[in-house]
Amino acid sequence: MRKKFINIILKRSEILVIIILIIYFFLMGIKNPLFVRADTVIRILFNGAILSIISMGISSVIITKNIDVSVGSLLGLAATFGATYLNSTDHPSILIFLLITLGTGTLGGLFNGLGVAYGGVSSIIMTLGTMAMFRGILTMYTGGSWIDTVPEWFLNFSRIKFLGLYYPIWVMIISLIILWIFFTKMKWGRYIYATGNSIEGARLIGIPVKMVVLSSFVISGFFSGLAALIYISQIGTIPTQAGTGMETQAIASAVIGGVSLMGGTGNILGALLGALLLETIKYSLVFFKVPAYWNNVISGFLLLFIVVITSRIQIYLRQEKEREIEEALRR
Amino acid sequence: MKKHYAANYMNEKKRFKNLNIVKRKLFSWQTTLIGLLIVEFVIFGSLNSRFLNIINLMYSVGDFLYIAIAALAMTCIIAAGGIDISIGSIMGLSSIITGFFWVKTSNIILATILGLISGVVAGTLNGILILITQVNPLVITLGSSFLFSGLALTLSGFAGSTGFEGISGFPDSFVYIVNGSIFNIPNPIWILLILTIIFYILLHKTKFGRYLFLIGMNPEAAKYTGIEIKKLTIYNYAISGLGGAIAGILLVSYFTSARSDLGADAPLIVITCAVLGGASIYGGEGSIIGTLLASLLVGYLKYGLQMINITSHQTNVFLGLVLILTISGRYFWDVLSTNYKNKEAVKRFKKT
Repeated sequence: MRKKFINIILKRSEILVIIILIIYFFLMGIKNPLFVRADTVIRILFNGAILSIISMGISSVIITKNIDVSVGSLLGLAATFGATYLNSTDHPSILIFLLITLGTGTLGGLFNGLGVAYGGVSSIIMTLGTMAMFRGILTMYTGGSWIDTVPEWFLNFSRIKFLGLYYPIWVMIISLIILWIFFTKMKWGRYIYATGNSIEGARLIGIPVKMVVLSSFVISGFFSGLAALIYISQIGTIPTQAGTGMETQAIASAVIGGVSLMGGTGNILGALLGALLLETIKYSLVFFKVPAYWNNVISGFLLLFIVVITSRIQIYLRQEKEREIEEALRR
Repeated sequence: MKKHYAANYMNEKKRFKNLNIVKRKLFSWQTTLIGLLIVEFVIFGSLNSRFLNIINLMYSVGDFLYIAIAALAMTCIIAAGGIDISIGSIMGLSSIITGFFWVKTSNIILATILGLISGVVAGTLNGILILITQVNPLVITLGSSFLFSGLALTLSGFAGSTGFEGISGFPDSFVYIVNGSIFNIPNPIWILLILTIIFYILLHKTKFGRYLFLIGMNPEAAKYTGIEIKKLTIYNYAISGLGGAIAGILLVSYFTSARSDLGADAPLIVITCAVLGGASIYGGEGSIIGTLLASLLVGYLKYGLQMINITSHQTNVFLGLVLILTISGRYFWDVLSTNYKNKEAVKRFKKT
């Protein structure tokens, strides 16, 4: 009975991530009790809004057994276009601003999706190509200079609290709810899972697999645009390298949260929690004033460590299942 | 009568066979790459006559030597169904380790050997992690690329250069490796030639290479044939690490300074070269000669675009577009040619 209980916990990657998070908080709390506070949690949620939104979006692509490494560049591009519009007029219309930022993201995702679904380009090649292209377009557009002014009213968007939480955190929560409903309750969301599980099988039962793959890239692009909105408001300056390295972190957090690169498994909540775990590690490094150049070493090491642990657990579970089936057969 | 038919049939078959060989040679991907290379030279030559200066062309190989070498190693990895994103970080790590030990021991040979060893160790670590986790190599090498680049940055701090500042002051003999020339031909060409031959033999002429293709094509089948997949995978990633280290050290020699972010932008271009050269990202396909041709194509494209005053950002847009269009074009070419072949076969069948 107890074994069964442990197996159930191990089977749900999101529960595992929560346990790792609690242990991590506990260990940091031993080192410095000031770390375990509500303020820390809010700070982590606030800092992690961008990464978690991107990793939720990228999950839809990973679930279809594809990959999208262009999200970081797309975030930078959408943020640049959006912020340029904000600065261009005295009275920018919020609707046009949203349209530009989210539209850039969506169109970028559409381009990726068209190439992968209809152009016959494998997703890693397609998005590696567009990663370079989006970044190049960004630098050409700004001429290599940074955008360092954003109107005060839009900066305030991420400084004002609503019901005790900052707005970016609300955006993150609402995205989570919408995507959760989309992936668990709606037909098209289930199509995405089916396509990732077996593209040929999905095609044979009449799922329009090409459209499904296309839509997953559009979702990923849209959420890059959404993250760009928060980026503009939270950071306030848009350097030309905005969002570099974001794609690797987003993929890593989705994988930590149990979204398998083999497609068809994992859920949105796991991706969010994975992103928060990475953000917690980052925040603790800042909190304990670890010299900045250790950051990459420690996050890289922890990332590999977590991947090793979760994968060993999954291998253990698979063997356990096989043993169970064998026992049942013997009986 | 019967005999006549048989003879006729044999003749037909021979004719088709010869035709097929000619066709295969003519329409093979490598021939297409050579064609593209010629087109590129013609276009850039007509835009700027300085481009076709043979001495410039020879010396500009040094610019993309590191990419070509890493791409050769990457071809082996991709052929076996893997991928190594960390190759750029390995370049940075090995270059910093070489610089670090040069500063500490003033013995350049020892420093270079340690730099090469660091690449092999890093690659072996990748291989071991991929084996024990059985996670997609993309994730593992993403994680390890953080680790390696972080280590490089930290080490460069220990060597006395803060942050992204480089370690310099290398001896002339070391700088000569890439910047010198033998028989009036710049060293980069010799290095590239030798490494291409080594990798060609390794991947196309040895058992090891054949097994890599088999692992990439069908790991299950490879397992049942009794191939030691684990050992070969670790060797493969170690070779890739070595390739990254060689590329990194040659970069140090080329720039005469070691920096931790050397090669940070390499993975995209390296994978581009390998895939353009005919390696299938799904494993089981790959060609060293193709990769070499693709590296030349991409390298001279960058060089040519610089010659006609196009900035590197614009070059990136162009490069991404070329990559996507080529791969997509190849896909449609495959679809069309399969359709054509099917139709031909049906026609032939109806005739008999």
